[in-house]
Amino acid sequence: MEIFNIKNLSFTYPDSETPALESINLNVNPGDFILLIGESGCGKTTLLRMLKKELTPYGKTSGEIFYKGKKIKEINQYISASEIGFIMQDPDSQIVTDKVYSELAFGLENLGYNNTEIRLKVSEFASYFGLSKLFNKDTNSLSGGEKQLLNLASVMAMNPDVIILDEPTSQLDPIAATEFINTIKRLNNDLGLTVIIAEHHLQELFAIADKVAVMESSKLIYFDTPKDIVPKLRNHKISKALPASARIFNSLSESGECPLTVRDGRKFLQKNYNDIDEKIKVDCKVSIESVIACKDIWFRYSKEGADVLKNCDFNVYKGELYALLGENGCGKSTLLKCISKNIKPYRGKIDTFGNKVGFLPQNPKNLFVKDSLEEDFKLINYSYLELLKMFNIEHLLNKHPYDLSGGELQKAGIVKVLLTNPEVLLLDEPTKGLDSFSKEELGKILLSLNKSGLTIFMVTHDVEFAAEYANRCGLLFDGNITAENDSNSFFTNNNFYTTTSARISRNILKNAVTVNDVVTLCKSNELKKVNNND
Amino acid sequence: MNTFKNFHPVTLACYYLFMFLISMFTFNPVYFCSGFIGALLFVSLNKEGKFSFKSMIGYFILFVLISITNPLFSHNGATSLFFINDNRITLEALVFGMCLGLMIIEVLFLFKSFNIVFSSEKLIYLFGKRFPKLGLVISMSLNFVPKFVKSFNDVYAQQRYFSRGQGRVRSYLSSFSVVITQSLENSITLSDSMKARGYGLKPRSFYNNFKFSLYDGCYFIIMSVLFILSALGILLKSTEITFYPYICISDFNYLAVISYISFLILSLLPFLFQVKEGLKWKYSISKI
Repeated sequence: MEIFNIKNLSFTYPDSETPALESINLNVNPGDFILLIGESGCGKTTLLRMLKKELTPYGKTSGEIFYKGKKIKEINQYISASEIGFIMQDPDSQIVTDKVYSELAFGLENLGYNNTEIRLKVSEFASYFGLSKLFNKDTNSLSGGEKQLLNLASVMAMNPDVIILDEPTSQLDPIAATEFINTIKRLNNDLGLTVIIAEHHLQELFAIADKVAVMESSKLIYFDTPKDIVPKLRNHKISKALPASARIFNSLSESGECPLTVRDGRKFLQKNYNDIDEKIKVDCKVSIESVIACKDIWFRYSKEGADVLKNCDFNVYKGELYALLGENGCGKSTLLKCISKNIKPYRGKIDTFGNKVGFLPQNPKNLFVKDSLEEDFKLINYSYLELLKMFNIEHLLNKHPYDLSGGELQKAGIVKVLLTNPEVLLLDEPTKGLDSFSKEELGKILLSLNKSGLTIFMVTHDVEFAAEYANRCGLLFDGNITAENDSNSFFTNNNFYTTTSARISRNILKNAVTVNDVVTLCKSNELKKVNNND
Repeated sequence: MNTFKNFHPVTLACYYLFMFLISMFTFNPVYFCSGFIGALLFVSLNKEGKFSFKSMIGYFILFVLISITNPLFSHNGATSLFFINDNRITLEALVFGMCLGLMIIEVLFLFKSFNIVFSSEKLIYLFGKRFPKLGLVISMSLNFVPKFVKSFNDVYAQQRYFSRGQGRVRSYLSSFSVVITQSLENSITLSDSMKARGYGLKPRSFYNNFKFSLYDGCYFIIMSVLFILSALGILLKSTEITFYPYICISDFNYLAVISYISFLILSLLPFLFQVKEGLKWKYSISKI
């Protein structure tokens, strides 16, 4: 019997004219791993929430959802609470209690289990998820990835049959995100758990999923296996979100079986596009006038603490777009705070040569204090209209900052910082939580700002974004910058810490770093290939 | 190593209840002294107490201040020492002041030792066992407060950047309102997460890691016996001291001695226990 059987489901929010979901039909079988993709605001979250009785939004519904053959409205509350697990985006605000063990026990306490039963289940799941070392810790002391893992474990402790995840990795760094997705995969394999997951970050998920459901403006447009869905999306907007190998496959208009993983992508390139001598031309002009100069800076947060920055020494030159990469907790954000003069290094010197530095924090929500964007902009400067036009967000002027989507908020934040007329813009993880469309839009904006003379220094985990848009990249490790180069050479020289496209094309193509590079190089060989075949 | 902290919360709660009860219902420097010494030794034995001789100077100043203040305002007592501006300073008032100072410092140190021993989970256990919802509320607040402080600091750093030239108070206020709004937003997610995990369906049960062992029982009995012995001396007024008009100590009697000694042992119990366990550990290590 199907776990979920959605029949002709439509849904409209009370104050809206257009439906949020329109005649959706979907079957989910036990043990299925279903990936739900679509642009922000296409109705993914609404659909997922319809599947969990407690979280069903209020509005006009037609059609039916059956859970194990029963109408979802009529199933028992205990069954709904324990059998259908739900995990949301923000790892922080889902955590209820102050200790890891009490969080794990929270759901079981709600269902009235006694102490011995809870102890057994909690210890079982803590060891399965590798949380035993964190068991007695404060939930506040965990990292984002650990928090999301804890959320997953505390839902799993209730022994659900199906788990629904709404963009669970969007707030995590890539390593934590991969680990989280692997855990879900393990649950799916080990326990036969049914998984329904909506996500923007598709690199790993696409290879794992059994079926992919594609949504576009409230409708479910495709529902198929990953391999079959790639060719269908060839000219679709969402194709930009696909894994690199699938994008390369699509852009080259190949037919046959689509590669989804790096391994298959390599095989595909080796087979079809061998011996290409062509190189991507890189022109990286760096001005010699530096705008930020860090000279041997040392920083630690407390007297007895460890050094976060050690002898960190680098320059940012005028007019460049510099991306600083590095794993979690390596001191990237600390460095930004030092440059923006929020904190002071205990040794060394930071010189900004009299340039004004604007700083956009990781969470742009923190910038806004008023009830509408307009009021907020007026606090600083009245010349905001021009910038809004340039960013294409004039229509948001009267909205409350918290009603904006992640991408809109990021843009509004940049506008607010730009109103202070900085010469240098510092960005902290600008792509966190953005879908691929917003990322692309943001990248274009950064490029055009850069062209108009603004120097941009960003700190990011997102290697793909850095490869696509930055002029120069640096790697921060153990408190100082260990590698620094123009972005093409940087990613070509790195073996692991590099883009997926670079990993796919390593030793096959000379210096391809982005999907576009791979496609360009492959296409340059098109003629040769045709000749060879003759 | 086994420490005093590892006792069951109920045993520990009773211990501190006994200590505070006796400190509250007597006014006898002997009890205060023993309580103070016991708590001081225990605090100095634990790293969390952050004990240093420097900090003791502060307490000593407090003690001296209280001791001096009492005779300046209270002029009861028969033995005059000297006069300040026609105000009589009496020996009795001075001694009373010193006792008062000693009591306050003893209670402060008891609280210090209480803080070391009672981590949040023990408090939550004590309340949550009877009232699971109250336990949850405490636990949720303990989760919320550090989060709130952290996001306040983040927002404040930003506001300072944008409102240069503005007053500090104004950026404090606007940061505060931002953090409140954000917390309200997050609380929607929180309530969804609670609902999704079945909150409110049934009366909650309460999960805890604590087990009341025989060991706890034994120590509980020892504590109770010591407490009853010390309390007897107080109830039967064999350890009573009156200060005004003359300092008057009740006559020597065996009950008073027993009461003093039992309270001294009770006060020293955490310290003695920890020293004993320390020696045991050292000894067993040397055997290995």
